[in-house]
Amino acid sequence: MTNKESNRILWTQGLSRNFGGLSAVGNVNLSVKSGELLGLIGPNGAGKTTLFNLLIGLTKPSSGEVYLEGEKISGLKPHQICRLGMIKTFQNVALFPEMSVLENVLTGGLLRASVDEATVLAKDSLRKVGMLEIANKKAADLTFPEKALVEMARALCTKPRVVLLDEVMAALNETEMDHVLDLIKGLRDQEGITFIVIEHHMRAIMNLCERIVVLSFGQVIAEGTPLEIGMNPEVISAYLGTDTTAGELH
Amino acid sequence: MNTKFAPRYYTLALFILLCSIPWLLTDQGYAIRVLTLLLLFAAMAQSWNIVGGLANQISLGHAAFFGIGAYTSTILLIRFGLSPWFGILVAMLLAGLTGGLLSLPTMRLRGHYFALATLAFGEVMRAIANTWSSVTGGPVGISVPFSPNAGLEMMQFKSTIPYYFIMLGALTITSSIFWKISHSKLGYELRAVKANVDSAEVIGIDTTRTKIIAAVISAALMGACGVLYAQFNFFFDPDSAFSLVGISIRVALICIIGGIGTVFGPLIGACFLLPLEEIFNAFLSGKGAGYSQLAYGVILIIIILLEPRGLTTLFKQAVQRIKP
Repeated sequence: MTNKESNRILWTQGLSRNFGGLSAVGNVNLSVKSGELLGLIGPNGAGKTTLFNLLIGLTKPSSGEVYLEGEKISGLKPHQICRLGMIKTFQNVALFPEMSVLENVLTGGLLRASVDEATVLAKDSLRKVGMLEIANKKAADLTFPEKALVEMARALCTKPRVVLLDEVMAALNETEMDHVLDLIKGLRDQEGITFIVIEHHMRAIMNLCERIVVLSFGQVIAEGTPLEIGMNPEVISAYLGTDTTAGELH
Repeated sequence: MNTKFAPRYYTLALFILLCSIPWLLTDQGYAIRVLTLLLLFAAMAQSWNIVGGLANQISLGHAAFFGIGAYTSTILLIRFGLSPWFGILVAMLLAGLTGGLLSLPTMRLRGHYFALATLAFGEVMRAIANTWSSVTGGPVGISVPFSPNAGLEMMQFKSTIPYYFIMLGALTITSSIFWKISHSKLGYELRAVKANVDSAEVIGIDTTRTKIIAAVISAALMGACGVLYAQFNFFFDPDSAFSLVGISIRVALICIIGGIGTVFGPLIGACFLLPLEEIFNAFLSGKGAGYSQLAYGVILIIIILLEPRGLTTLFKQAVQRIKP
């Protein structure tokens, strides 16, 4: 095993998922290093969220495998994968609306702790994301940026090794976005958490990520540093459309 | 600190009041009988509340577990002379097992589909009890034999008052279990499952296991209530023990009207619905068939339209308005 391979925390082999005749994710071979900040971008409908769901077990692959820290996890249920250390946040935020912020976050701690211990963990997670002062608010009453941060705190409360963030920065203003970017970098630096981030906001992704993977029609069409990706003609055509890709759409 | 402990005092005061009712209502045999059934139905609604309230799975088949409980202890008593106190354990085991097995195919169903599947299961159990005459006695029903050494050890009494306290005990136990669960790990997990199954799974909750455990506890407690009913009423048949309207729907209604998912909802709902039924039956049954059901239905619809979260919420809102 080469040094590069031993350092990777998550990888996939020929990961594919078809919905009917449509290939939502096709033959994706992803390799993520431990502690990496990886961006996942692509046009709408490129299969980014489906890829996340395949990784955490919400969707079963049609073929291919997922490995987390050397262990095959494809076929496991999401709660088992969460126990092994990988979690995602939902694109439109999926808090439990009737619960308070604190209860939401502590529920994330219950897989490794009692209610009392999870409450302590939850307060700690809320402090990390800067949301401790709204701990007693009802989740349904939060603004979208608050909800996004609380869901991140809930994810942290499960003590993850790999966190998949699905458009956590959508609908944030510039200041809020800077806060989240610092937060993610801080968590990576201090706790060694690996992040894969789906984001449409290019400034955020270029600023945050060390490497970017571009999906289009379920396929990886490019991979590289933000600079390389920004100048890749295939990526530009995938986003802006060419005659051929526009033709495929119809 | 005061506000935090106040509910405890209210609960204690309520418990003392319920304990003293038989002495406040001496020579009121009919009233005590109605109250005894009221407490039993509140206990049944509390058992239902564990699945219906915490996980929001509206079961319309809980009569299945009630009937299993009633038949199990009565058959053990008739065939083997076993005390219902032992029968209640077997009944809880069987009802819990049935509840767990039923949850395997139904747990993926949501809303109306879950309600319909459980409703069908309750009806199937009624059909089985009607046709399996060699065990259940069939449609003619089954009588609990009055034991010569009646008393506490056979759970048989000549007076209604001991039954009243047994039912009060049942309500206290089911309510304590509900309270304990709703503040435990399982309670958080159930509320997470209720809000969003995918999200609950992703944050590490074994949603399948959570649903099965809740179903087993709820069914086992319902089975125990069936045993108590058999001992209190001394007679039942498949159509009453597995009754869709009389047990399954009524228990769900009590909880929904009282306040689904709240610890006092079942008692409040039972205190409202059962006397209402009695009053309508007494005053309207002479006026023509169906009037009492019509009026009953209209009142339920008004309450649900007024406040879907039930009387507990209506009451809280009223208190908030009165408070300065």
